Amino acid sequence: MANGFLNTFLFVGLPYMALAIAIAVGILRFRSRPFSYSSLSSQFLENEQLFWGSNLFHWGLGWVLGGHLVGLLIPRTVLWWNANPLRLFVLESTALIGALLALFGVSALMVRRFYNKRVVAVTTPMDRILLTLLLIQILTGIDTALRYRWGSSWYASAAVPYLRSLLLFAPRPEFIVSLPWGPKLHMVSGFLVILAIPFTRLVHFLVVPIWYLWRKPQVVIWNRRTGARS
Amino acid sequence: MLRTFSRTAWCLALAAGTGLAAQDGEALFRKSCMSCHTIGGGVKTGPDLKGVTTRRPREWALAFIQAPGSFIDKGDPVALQLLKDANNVKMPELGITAAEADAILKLIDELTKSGKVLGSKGIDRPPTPLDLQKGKAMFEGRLRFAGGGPACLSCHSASGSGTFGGGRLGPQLNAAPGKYGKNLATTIENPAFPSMVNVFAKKALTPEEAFQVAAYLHSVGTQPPPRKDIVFPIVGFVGLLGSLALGGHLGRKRFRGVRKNLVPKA
Repeated sequence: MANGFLNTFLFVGLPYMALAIAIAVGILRFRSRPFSYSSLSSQFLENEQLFWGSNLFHWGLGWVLGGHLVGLLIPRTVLWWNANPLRLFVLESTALIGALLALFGVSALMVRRFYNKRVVAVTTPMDRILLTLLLIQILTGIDTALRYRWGSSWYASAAVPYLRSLLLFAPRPEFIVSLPWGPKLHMVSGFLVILAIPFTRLVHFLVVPIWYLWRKPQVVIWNRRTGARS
Repeated sequence: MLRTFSRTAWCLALAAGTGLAAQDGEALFRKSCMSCHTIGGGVKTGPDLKGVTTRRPREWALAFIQAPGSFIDKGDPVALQLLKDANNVKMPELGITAAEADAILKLIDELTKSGKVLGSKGIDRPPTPLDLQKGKAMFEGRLRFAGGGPACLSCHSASGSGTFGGGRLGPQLNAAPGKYGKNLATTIENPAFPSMVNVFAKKALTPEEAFQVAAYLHSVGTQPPPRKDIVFPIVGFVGLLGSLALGGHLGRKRFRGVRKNLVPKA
């Protein structure tokens, strides 16, 4: 019975609570402190570890998170792709490489945040909490991929119906409560990452300047150099 | 907004926690019992339940359906005999409530009185080579199930299945024929395992598909497949090294010099 209530809290209460708080506090933060919607660059303080950490983390996570979203949107197509064992292996392997890249990246970012004196000086407790949460999320994901393979197939069959039921406000946790605790921990830490969005630098993904892709070109003129010649 | 959202969430949480399952005996029986039992259709992994309430006290049956494991744990002689008859296949704890167990017993009473049959022992003919071929293709996913269910390989492995071996979420299935015997096909057709019940609730295999997958499993032998798990992490690790090399190559012209000059002044 206690396990039933724990499952209900973790897989029905927590996701809605995390989403509600993320939306409400996210709006409040945007209205009260719009210029805090940023990842607050520390590139001038340290650049070499950041190159490896930030790039590999974002590449890896982008690939893996994109895969999760594709599975959520078109699970039948994922199952069709996985119908060929070789294609299934290619998908799983590339996803694992992405996850390992993200792990390498977040580890580099943590070393930088926790031990580089210049960067430590501008690091907040929420930065530390966020990086720790992301590390847990990536580690539990890799654990799931390795110990409970082939996740892309059973994610599309069991986890996607659960996630869709959440989005449709008709939660059906019975799809996932019988899963082992490894994958369930991955889901719980995912909900905690969503909860952390408005309280951390993670908000920056909501304001990714993708409009650079289609805005009109701008000409930047360096006034000082022009002035020096004259 | 936050309050409304939270209220909605907690109402939904309460609804899920208290259980809104319809007390439809037949639906419950099909979902939870039919993989191992029939009502008047004969013995499968578990006994034919026709007339069970005349063979056992109703209270005993009600309690047993809800928590069969506890009866075995306390050494109930009837439960131990049933376990022996079922080739030591334990009835799973299905989370059935008292109200649901009552609905199932009412259905059994009703069908026992009317003489109607629910559930069958499945297809009874020797499998052909085509059955084995189709069973393997469906196990691996190369041939899709008509109902759209996921391939067995997603979660299970068996000897010779898949280029790089099968899934690891569910058990390895070489031992399944020995465990379920001739009832393997009906167990696959109506799986009562907690992780499969909901996934296959609306995507059940047809009796023919279940028969062919079971025939394939019967054909693979009892030896577990050689583990190919190591290939997957090795490919991942090699891919990681390759990606690091690519990243270093693509970033070789980054503005290291400019920043190095600026950092000491920071």
